Amino acid sequence: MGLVALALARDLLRKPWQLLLTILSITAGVTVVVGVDIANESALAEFRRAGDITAGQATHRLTGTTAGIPESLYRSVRVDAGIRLAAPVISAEVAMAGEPGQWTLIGVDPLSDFRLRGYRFGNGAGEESSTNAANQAWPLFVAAGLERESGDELTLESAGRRQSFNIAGELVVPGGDPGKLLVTDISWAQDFLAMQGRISHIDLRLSPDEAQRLQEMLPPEVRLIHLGVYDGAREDMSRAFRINLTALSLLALVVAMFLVYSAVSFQVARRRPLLGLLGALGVTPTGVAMLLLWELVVTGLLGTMLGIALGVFLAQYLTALVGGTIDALYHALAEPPPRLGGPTMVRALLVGVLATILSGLVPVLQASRESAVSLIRGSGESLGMGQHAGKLLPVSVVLCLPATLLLIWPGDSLVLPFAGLFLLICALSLLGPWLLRQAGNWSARHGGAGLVPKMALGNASRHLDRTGVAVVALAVAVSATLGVELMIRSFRHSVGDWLEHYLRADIYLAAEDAGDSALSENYIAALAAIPGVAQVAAGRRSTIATTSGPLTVFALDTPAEGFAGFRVIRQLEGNLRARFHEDGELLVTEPLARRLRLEPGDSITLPTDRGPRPFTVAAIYRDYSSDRGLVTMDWRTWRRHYDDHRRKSAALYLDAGVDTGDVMAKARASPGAPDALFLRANRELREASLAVFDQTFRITAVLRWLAVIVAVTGIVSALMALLLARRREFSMLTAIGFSRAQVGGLLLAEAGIAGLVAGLVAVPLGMLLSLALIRVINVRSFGWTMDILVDWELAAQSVLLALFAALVAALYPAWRMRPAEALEGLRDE
Amino acid sequence: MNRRGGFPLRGALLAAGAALLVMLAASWIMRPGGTGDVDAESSESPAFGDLVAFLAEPPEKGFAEVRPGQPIRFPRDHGAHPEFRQEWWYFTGQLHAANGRRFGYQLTFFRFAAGSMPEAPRSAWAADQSWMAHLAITDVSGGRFLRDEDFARGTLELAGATGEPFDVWVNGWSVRALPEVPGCAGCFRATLAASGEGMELALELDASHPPVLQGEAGYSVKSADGRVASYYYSMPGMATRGSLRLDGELHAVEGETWMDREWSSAVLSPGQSGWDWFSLNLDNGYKLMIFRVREDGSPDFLSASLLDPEGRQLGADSAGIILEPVDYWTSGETGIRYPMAWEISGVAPEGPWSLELGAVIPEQEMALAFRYYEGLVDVAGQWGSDPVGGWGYLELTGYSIP
Repeated sequence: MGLVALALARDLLRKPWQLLLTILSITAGVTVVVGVDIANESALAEFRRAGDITAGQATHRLTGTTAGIPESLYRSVRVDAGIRLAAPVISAEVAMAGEPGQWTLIGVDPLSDFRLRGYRFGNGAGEESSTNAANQAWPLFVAAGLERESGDELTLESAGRRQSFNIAGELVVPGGDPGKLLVTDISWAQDFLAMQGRISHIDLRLSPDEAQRLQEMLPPEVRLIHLGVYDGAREDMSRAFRINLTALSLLALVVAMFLVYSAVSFQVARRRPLLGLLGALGVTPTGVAMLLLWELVVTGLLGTMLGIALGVFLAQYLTALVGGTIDALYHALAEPPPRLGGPTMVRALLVGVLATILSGLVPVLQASRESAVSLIRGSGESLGMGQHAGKLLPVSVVLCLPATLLLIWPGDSLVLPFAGLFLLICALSLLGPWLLRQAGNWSARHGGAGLVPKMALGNASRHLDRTGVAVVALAVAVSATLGVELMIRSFRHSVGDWLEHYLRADIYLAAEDAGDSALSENYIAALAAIPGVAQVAAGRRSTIATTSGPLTVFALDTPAEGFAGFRVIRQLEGNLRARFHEDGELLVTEPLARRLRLEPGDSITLPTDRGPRPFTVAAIYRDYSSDRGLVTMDWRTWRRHYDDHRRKSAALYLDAGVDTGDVMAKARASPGAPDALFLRANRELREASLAVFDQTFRITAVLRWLAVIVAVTGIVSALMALLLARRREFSMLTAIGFSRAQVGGLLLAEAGIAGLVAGLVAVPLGMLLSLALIRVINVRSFGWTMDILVDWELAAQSVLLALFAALVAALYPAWRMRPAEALEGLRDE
Repeated sequence: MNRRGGFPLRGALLAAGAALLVMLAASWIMRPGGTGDVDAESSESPAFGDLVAFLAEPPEKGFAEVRPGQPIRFPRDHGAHPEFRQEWWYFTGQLHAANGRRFGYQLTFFRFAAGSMPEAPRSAWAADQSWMAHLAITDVSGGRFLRDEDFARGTLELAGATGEPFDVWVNGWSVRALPEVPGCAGCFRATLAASGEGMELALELDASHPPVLQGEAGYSVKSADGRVASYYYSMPGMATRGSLRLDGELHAVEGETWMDREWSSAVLSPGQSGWDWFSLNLDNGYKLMIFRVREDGSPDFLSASLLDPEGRQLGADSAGIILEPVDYWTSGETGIRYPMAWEISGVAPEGPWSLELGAVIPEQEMALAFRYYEGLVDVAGQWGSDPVGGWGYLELTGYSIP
């Protein structure tokens, strides 16, 4: 048997390019899967790590609403309640002079903190420093890299205050890089942030008994939250996003599997004479099948390993994109370093090898069953799609049923609709070959058109097992591209529409100083006094810690005109504005309503500075600014329940005909203006928001193009296989007078027809895809509904793309069609 | 391209090997965990280093100096003296449970004054004192020793000590006098509460004898040249009762507690490496306190005090006392070798005495932020012409890895 294996292997390696093609097909698919997997895992790991670094071993947190908790609470916890594992924390986002972005400043009490967080403080020479070493004023411990760069001092800024800190040493955090974390003693943090009398929160590690005991002694405005809930909330935030990405990557793999199928068929086809010989020499069909399968395994392994290596490189790029997107949407992440974890490698190996075996199984089994004679002769067409062409339509229709069922199955699962989507893609893409066969039959029955097109059509239809696969692969890739692009355009249109509807004011401003900055009341009054300003609507957006995760509350006083900007989807009867303004009822956004299962009329309990209070939901409105959702309340309602009355943003409504630029200049110059002021005219803001949207979807664009490239690669190998199988035919054509160019042209025409058919199938498939994405996947992932946009221009472009891709793929095989090959084909006869 | 009969095995193997290498290289570069995970197990206690090294630092400017002839008044001086650099309240004792089980315990509160800071933050968290507390229980029958520590900064009432009423606490661990008129100046009845890793103590201490001033009316020198001294008093013989919980098991206990109090701005002079301290309670009612400061290249400095059964202070002839370590134990945790059995002898008004004392179990090392040995000892020997037994506590500091 060893000899036989050797013979096969030698034969395989005689034409290394074909082997390479098979390997590369798998590599292509695995690369994308691994790249996305690594990007996702890295982002997730970074999320978790960022959470762990700040929470450490803590299980609970004592937290307030908007202004922290009284510092005396710490004594109650430690001395009166005797809780041992508790650490007070003052924490704030600050800016660093000369550096972009936000940094997290944490003030801790090292004497109690070491049990929970395990931060270590080096004194620069790599030794431990005692607590007394931080005896210099304004000590700051920073990550090693920053320490090296910055020398002795760093200036931090927060809410208009500037302070120069002395770098006292290196911050060492268990389990990784401190990133953008800056640590100082809690006393200095309190001084710098002017939080006298208050601290941000107390982290605790509690047994259930202690938690119970503590709960009972808390003042009403302080809450004990379980940090596990927060970890879950944080992961949830990006889970939908990551699932969507994984689905896209699996798509690339599916396409790759088609490629492998055609590549392996091609391989098998090329070696039919050898296989026949082996059969004649007495090797059993099972023996042949086993050998071929082992070859598949080895090829699969090689391809996967290469795919993993390439995937790692792709991941560098993807991780930056994914991290950037998650950062933009979900808050500050240090840039996640891509990590190739064990699980990823195992998944990739399984997927790659399995995919190779599955895709190659059919041609291998077929080849092993054919008689030796027919193999040697090379006369038989391999059975496959060609033979079962009749079953294409019924199979397609039958598969559509479970696909639809999965898509519309009620519930919150994302996996089911994605599975249904894949099934739908498989089902409908089978219509491609069916269409091709029908077209072939039709052209055979009817006359007309020239010889070449008719031949091309006939050939394409006849060699369905080759062309069919190419059509399916291309159809899948193009329809996915079309579907996702349609969804994105619909989304963008809805976002644009929403922005236009929602942004009613002429000028928007916000305090942008790092940290907890606000617009002073004097400044707001000065704004109202600017000539041309009809009304000033000011408010604030706050994140409140609840027992089930963070909640964003948007409080504003808005004139009737602004109120009309809320695109209400469902509401209680009666005057909504009165309910909002006078009765203190709330408006909630779609994503929040979906997440918390709220309907107008339901009650929601919010933590306030007076303790937990119930509020009535008056209406649900459409809002794309956050997928976590937010609660909107009138400013008066906020004032009644919360103590922090500082307003952070404002909108100016101008009289008709007033020059916007003029007012903006005056707003910047008015007394009390913050140093860093975000100031935008309505149109600028809209454009900027859409730019963020576009940036967010860049990564899907990358993945879509990857899928197309993968498809094109596959078509090349499919056509190469076709070429080989029809050597005899082409050589006959050459013999009867077809020039090389004409034969090449024939091949191109066949490819063109295949591409056209693929494109035609891709259009309805792509539209169905986008429908599923918009109506099911997006809603379940993020809670947003949107209007469906049908872009016929895009549909037409997709058809052209399919055609073009097929033609490009056919160029090489057509060029390869050399006279020598033709003669060789004849010689066999 | 086909070498005759040559299967391009080498080529194939090279290709495969290259692919494997590429993959391995990539996965090594991308391995999770990054560079150098910090050893997190040492976050058990902040490494402040050796107690002795800390205490041997020369007194900084700005701290009060210990002088002879300063009156010590009670209950005022039970409280803290923040103008001195360090201070402690030391409670050690022996407890018996009804079922015959025997325990030793130690609860100590330490106060350290921080060095002068150039600029203090405007914050209630700014503290110029830091506090530390140690808790240890020796389970004699079970052969176990448990210990724990806690820390607090000296602000926001997280830790402190007052004299009237007598109250000393660090976070949740405390000794607080009950609100009643004491029978003598400096006497008190107090509740002691502390719970740490696997252990809980709730005791009532009855200090019915006045404090015993050590040295010369509380001025206790630590070296022959008299340059280093502290204010030092003790309150031995406090009747104790209460409960002790060890790994979930609750015991009702009673016994006796010895309190030691000291404050100063320097404890050792340069050249002194550490000390050995003994507090011994004999069956015949005598109580003996001995400490010896060890010095390299010079004779050790020894000081002792003796109380008779009525609590009167008798002169103890320090020169006549001989301390001889007879057995050692090496800590598995720190590698330090401690002498935990001793033979000591001296002369009392009743005549010469000689005692053998040994740790009830060897493992009584306080391997915490500061490292020292503090253990319950059994005492047996001769007092004058009569045999005598008893119990006590042994403290060893400044021993390093040999």
